[in-house]
Amino acid sequence: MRARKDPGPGWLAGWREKRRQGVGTLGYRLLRRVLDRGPLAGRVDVRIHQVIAVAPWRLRLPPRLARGLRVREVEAEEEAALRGLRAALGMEYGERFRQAHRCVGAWLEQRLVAFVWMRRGPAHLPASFGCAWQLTAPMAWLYDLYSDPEVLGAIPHLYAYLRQHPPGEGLQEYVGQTDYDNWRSRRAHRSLGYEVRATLWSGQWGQRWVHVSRSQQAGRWRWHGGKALIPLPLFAVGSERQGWRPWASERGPEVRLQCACGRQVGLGGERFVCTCGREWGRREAGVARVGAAMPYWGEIPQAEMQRVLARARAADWRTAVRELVPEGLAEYVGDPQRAAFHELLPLPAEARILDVGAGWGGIAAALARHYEVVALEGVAERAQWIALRGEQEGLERLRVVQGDVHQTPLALGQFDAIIANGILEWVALMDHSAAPTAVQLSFLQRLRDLLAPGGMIYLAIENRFGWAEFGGALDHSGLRYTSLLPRMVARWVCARSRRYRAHFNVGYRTYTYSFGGYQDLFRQVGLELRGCWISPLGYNRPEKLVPLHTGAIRFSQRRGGRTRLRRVARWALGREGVWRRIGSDYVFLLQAEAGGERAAETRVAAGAPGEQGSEHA
Amino acid sequence: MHELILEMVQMAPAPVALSRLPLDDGALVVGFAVGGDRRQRAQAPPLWVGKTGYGSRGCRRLRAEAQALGQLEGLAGTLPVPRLLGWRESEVRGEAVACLVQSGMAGTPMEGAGPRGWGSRGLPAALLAAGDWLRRFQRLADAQRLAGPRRGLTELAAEACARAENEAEGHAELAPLLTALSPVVAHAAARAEPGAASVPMHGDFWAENILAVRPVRSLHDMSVIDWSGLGAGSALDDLLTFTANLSDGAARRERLGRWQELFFAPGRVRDYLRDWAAAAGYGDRTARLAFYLFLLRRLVWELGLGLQTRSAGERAQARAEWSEVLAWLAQRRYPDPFLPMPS
Repeated sequence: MRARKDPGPGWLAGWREKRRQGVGTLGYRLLRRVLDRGPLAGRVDVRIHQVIAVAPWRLRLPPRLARGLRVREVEAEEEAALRGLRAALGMEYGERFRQAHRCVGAWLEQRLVAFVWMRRGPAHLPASFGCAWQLTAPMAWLYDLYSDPEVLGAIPHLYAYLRQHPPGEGLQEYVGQTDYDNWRSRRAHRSLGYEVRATLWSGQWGQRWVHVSRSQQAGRWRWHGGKALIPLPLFAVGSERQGWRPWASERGPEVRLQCACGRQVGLGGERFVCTCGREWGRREAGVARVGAAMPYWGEIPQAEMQRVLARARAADWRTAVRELVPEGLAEYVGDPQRAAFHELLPLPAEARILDVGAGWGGIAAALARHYEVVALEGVAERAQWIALRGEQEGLERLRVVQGDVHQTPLALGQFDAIIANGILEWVALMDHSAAPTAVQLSFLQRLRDLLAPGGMIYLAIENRFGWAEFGGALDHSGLRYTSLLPRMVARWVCARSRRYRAHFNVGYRTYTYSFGGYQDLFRQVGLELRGCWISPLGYNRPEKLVPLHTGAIRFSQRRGGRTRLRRVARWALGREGVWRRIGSDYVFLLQAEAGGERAAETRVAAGAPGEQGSEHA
Repeated sequence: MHELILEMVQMAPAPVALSRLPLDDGALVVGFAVGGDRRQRAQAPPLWVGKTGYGSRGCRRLRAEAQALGQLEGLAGTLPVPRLLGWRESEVRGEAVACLVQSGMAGTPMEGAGPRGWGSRGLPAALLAAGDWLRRFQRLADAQRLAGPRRGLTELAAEACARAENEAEGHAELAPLLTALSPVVAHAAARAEPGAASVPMHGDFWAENILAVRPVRSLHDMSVIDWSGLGAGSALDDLLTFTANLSDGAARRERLGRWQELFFAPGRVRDYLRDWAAAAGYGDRTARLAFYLFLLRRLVWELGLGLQTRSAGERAQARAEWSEVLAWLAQRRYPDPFLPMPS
């Protein structure tokens, strides 16, 4: 006898769901019949609403949609006719509803086939829905829906129209609402790709109402009193976003220093003097000099750098690079794609960004085309170079501060984003006061403190065990394979090597880590990992950034692979687990954890100087 | 992040993983759903695909694609084509910036699923599916006049010749190539049977722009992307583009010397194309016009004179390749396609 094929858990779950819905629908319909027509009508009532939401890309156009559909605002006369429909049923809209809603309709061959009433601002929904809730964001709700294919076809267009023509403050979310007993409506919503995000039960006993809600986000039942206002975020699509918080607007109009006396000093003028009388520095040739310069450090010797600077002043920075900078480095300096990663950072145009260790200013200059940027660079010649470059490119939103991130007393909580591109591994080379990991932790802590609430850190760095490292790529020490060695052995090797990268040999202090190692590091300073990408071309060429997501990795690899063997190998290795372990360059996006942020906020609010500010004092 | 992409990220019901890939004069920002288990993540298509374009050229290409996707909206329910989710054009410090967001499509480029046994063991399913897809697209799109009112092929030929000559004036180094084909097209147009009308064409219908869910069994397993070249052309244009670019490299090169021989050497592919021409109502002379018109369009496209950006290296390579192709054709006195080649 042939064994019966197991339908699988999916089939069973689907069947159970169908049965549950069927019973629920039938039960509710019977209840409604009793409540509407029985002796209790008008005194006792129960209503169940489903709050239905959809992301625009999930909207499905039904194939039967006719061409020639037009969507526009419903005019006053037409709106009156729509209201008349309601009045004919003996359910007139309240005056509040008239003032607070806007109507958008879809026409097909001069016939109005569907329409949506949309909220204009915070208010209660009309009583005809049998419930009341507080709206904290503009929303649209579907007034009525039939299983007519023309109406179905029109609904996605209505939502698309609403998205493109927001009322004033900007419509961001679309929430449809349907009564549970209207099974055709529910089915129609689902056929379009909507999903039920929340269910609201409203019960009436005499004049009293009670509401119970359950949303996907909350995951549990919540009671709301008769007069309680049910917040929209409980149901809204946007409340489950990636966790980005609204941008803080309290960071002030200009970049500030934190004085030891507790006051803050703006970097706007020519001299940075606190009202307590202390002078923190001055602006010279476009560079805000705060504190002493770091010893020279760079890809070319100091004398050459000064020649390049002189040539850039005399001619143009591009000419200077073309004539005097070695070819490979010239590409690196002038590459307009250095800040291509900004296309993945959810930053508004008014965001303020700090570029730590800005170097030749490639990233800062590219970012300053879109945002306000502060380039922080310790080496005097490089800071001058960035200022010159910004001036010659006409970048008014680029400010250059000469100083070290620890030594410069920047006020806390004033940057929406901080860029640390290839910096973390170097910080321990200049600071020998503690073990490399401790120095790196202190650096990360400082960055976290500088972040505005909700801000983020973009951190790009190598993987200690990346494929390039196994392939013999030079480590930061200037030697091969040192990152792969145990730290103690690496220190011993570096201390005895003549090929050590820096002119001062301090052993192995340029620590990089594995993915897990970085996670530990971030956790210790209260930074939360919001995203991680692998940069296959290296983090200094961020044109290609692939998230640790198997689908995305395979999408990025879908072109190329000339032979079948290569294609198979790519497919087999194209997994997030593999890339996480052996990806060569990581790009992390970090946000301060809630507790950590609170600590930083407390420090700012109390006006207490940061650790470095105290040192200056 | 472009404001339109930012909106898409903010409106997502669940966290989105963003990927950035380079494009000519812009970038591709693709959103993937983060939730689900590993298998789901590996198989799920992108939620949406955003394209940003910088500079006048990048913006022009995206604008053309946005317009095309808008026109195609009526077909979205019947043919798997991406849907336009958003389009915005702005200016950043005097530089034009455009962004287009379209729905993500499932599948991988058809080239990855390359048709094995090309020309010897029957026609590959991929080619048949592509042919079926094109046939359906042309029927539906023609009914809706997606590429405007129908025009005669001779009119299109005259336009293409005029354009090639204009381009030749602007690019002296390319003039020998461009002016070599124009007279052939003009001659073929003069001799073509009257009455052949244009149909809507994709404009860049090749394997990389066709996403296939493997194994390809029917046209419903395929979706077509990159619609910036949507316009009017001959019924054969897209199919010839597809055939010319579909490469199962080694096998085909062993059997045939050059790609253009595919259209003349006896085989199932040539028979298939000939049947197509007959089904479109093209006689031998019209098929000849359609073929040389395709070559002229392709030449202009690959030399980077169309919407597509080409680097200096790519242009040089295209120039060298097309010099060979044209010399090969000239040596054989521009033979008729789909007919035995004169010895």
